[in-house]
Amino acid sequence: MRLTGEALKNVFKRPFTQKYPKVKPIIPEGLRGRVEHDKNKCIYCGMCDKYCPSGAIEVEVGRAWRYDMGRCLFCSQCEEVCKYMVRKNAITMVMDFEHAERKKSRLITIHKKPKPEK
Amino acid sequence: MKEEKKMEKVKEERVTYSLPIGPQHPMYVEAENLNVYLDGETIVDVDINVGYLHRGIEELMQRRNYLQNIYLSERICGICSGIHSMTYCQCIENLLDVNIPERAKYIRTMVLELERLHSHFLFLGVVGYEIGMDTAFMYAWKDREFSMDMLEQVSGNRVNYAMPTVGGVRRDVPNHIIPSMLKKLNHLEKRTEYYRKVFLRDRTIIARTRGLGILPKKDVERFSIVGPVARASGLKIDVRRDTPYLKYDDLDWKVIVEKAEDSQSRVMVKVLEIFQSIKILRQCLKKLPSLDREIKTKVPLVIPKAEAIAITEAPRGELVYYAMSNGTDRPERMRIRTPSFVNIIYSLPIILKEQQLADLPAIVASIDPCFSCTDRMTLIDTKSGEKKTVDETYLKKLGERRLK
Repeated sequence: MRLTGEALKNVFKRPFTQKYPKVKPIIPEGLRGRVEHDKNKCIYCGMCDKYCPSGAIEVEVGRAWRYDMGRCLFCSQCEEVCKYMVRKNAITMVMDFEHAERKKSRLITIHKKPKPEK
Repeated sequence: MKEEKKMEKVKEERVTYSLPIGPQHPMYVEAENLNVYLDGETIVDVDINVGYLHRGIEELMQRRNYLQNIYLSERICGICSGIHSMTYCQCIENLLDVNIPERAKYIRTMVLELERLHSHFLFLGVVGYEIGMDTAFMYAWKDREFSMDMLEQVSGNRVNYAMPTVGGVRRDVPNHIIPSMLKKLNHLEKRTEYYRKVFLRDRTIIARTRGLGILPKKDVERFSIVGPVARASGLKIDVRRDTPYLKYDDLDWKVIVEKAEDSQSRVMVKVLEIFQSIKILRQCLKKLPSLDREIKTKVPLVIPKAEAIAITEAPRGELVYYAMSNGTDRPERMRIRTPSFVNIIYSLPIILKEQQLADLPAIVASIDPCFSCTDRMTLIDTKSGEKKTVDETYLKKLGERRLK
């Protein structure tokens, strides 16, 4: 490597790194981000629980849906199962990738089955 | 046997002291223990202790269903995660005896080659870093970002892509991202040409790699060493050519072989393989828009009793998956043979012999070890320190006991 030439070339270039928190990076479409659950569409069948590889989703069949982001692998298997096996589309992966929280308990989402309107 | 004893005696006379390197050592990110026997500064022999990263993945696989295992197999290795899940899926498809759609085959080939690109760039960076040439490290890892970006575009994730599923792939490659990918490939080709010059001619790199860590061809054949390490010693083996899978037999590429048998040839094989990967990727991207949109065939999730095997070429060499099903949704037995295991265990003692201690990091880096794939179980009696390797007779005995 001829370092002098390389160094001179790089002095006049823009930095390759990004100033992350101020400047947001460009995310390609289709990124697997946060798991979003629609409590009205869901039928609480527990198929996503059965196929979740890390046990991040736990379903009390017919009653409640619990999601622990701390255990999630973001593989979108739950989305696929809900879309193609159950055909309900209740789970979607949204393009949101900043999930840091100060408390572990805030990573957990619990959705209870809404009561039917009379 | 007599000769071995003689050698042992010579070794004992020569060794002045032994030096443990690892489990925690700045040389490597991963935990592994090398016990180096030295005569002054010259290495006489090396003992390799693996097992610090053993996670029992084969056993875990037998407790999960076929879909969950895709994501578990991906986590065997952080660098070559794609090839592990693809080989797993191929193995399960062989169990079921199904064919996957043409488009899925092309997408799988593409992801595998993109992964080879990023793994090889990572390797170039690591070699530069171990030699003490941090500029090469920074440059190679900067260019690695482009291949990671492409993977993110295609699969939606940078490291564990979760791209294949049993019976096809999970997402399609849209036509509008192809031009931007071709642009990135052009950039990478230009940069690789530059690295080819650097790793061939640079003074620092020649001083630390040329003529060091020699792995003779007859030893490669004797210990069945695989992948780029074998190819650098002049043995023309590549699973992609020998037993073609996916689309490799339809595409135009060639196996890279170097004859110098030293560290530098091992680096050069990987640099030249980057060109071949780019060539394959270009052909895949050209072919993709004209193919049928179907990416997945429907497969049953409960698999009747059968046995299957799948062999692929990972960035580091031959990868073998064996699966046995028992009529439920979980495998009865999974077995994985990773390339780094053979490459590390058998080649390290040969290539490190009679080298200087200061060259050890550079030589070990040149075989591109991946310790997390390597770990196996060794039984150690903690009281006497006696080691026992599980061999065939011991396993047979265990099996007999289980049958009773």
